[in-house]
Amino acid sequence: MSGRRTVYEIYWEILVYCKSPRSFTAIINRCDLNSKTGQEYLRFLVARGYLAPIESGDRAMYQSAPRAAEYIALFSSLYQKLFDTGPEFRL
Amino acid sequence: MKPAQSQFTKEIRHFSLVTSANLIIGAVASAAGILYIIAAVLGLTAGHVSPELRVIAGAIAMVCFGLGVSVFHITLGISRGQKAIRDQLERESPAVSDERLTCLIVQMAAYYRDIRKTLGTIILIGPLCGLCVFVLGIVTGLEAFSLTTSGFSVTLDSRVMLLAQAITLAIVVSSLLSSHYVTRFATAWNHRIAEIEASECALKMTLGLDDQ
Repeated sequence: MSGRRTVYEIYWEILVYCKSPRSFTAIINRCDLNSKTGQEYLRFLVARGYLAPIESGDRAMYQSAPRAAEYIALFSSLYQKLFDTGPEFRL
Repeated sequence: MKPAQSQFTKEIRHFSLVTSANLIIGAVASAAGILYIIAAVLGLTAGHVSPELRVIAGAIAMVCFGLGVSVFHITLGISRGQKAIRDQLERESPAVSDERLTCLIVQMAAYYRDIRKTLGTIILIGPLCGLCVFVLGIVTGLEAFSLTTSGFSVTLDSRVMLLAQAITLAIVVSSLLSSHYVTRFATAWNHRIAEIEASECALKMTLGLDDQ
């Protein structure tokens, strides 16, 4: 996904993508990040316990921790609620 | 189908209708402009009309062509991104998972942030483009009339001319309607972007960032 996203949207995208173990390269490719910002996002999520690093052979993989489910659920409900209130667009 | 999914799908479909209408308006305006310019160069517009009127018509035709090309080009850019989201949504409908639906909403929000300024441009130049087609139609219509002291004559079949005027009127009305609907789309999404910003507090708290 590309375009102007907020940090919270990027966190959500990383956590959803990492429901199954993913490599750093796969994450930055999927989330359209450069390696520097990708490192920052991953470091933050790991530090907060939302993402867990997994050793898989010689490669470091990341997987969402059970704690991430709360954030993912809240994020989804907030974004879907956008269509319940406020002005709607129709012809 | 979830209410959010049904509303999102409906909005995307309706917005693609508006962009399609804008593409047609841009294409018609640029075609009308270039056709008038070609006709003027070939001398087909030289009738009983004064040279001043032909100069004015030529200038309007050039503006009409420029605005038509701009409307077409800008709308094409907007519709490409929106089509990509619509295609994904339609491919997966009706069984779209919560996660996929949220992903598409996030994509749309990100895409809207990208096109927000462009939409402002299209809201402004769309009606201008329609107005130019209308004025060009009127001026071209005037060229078909010839007013003398003994009366007036019409060089074209008046039914053909009336039809052409009706088409230009339809273009101007469509461009105004299209601009109105793009404004409504922008209002709805501006409201949602503001809501997203407001809900960042809750996300911040969940992530444990509220203490920073």
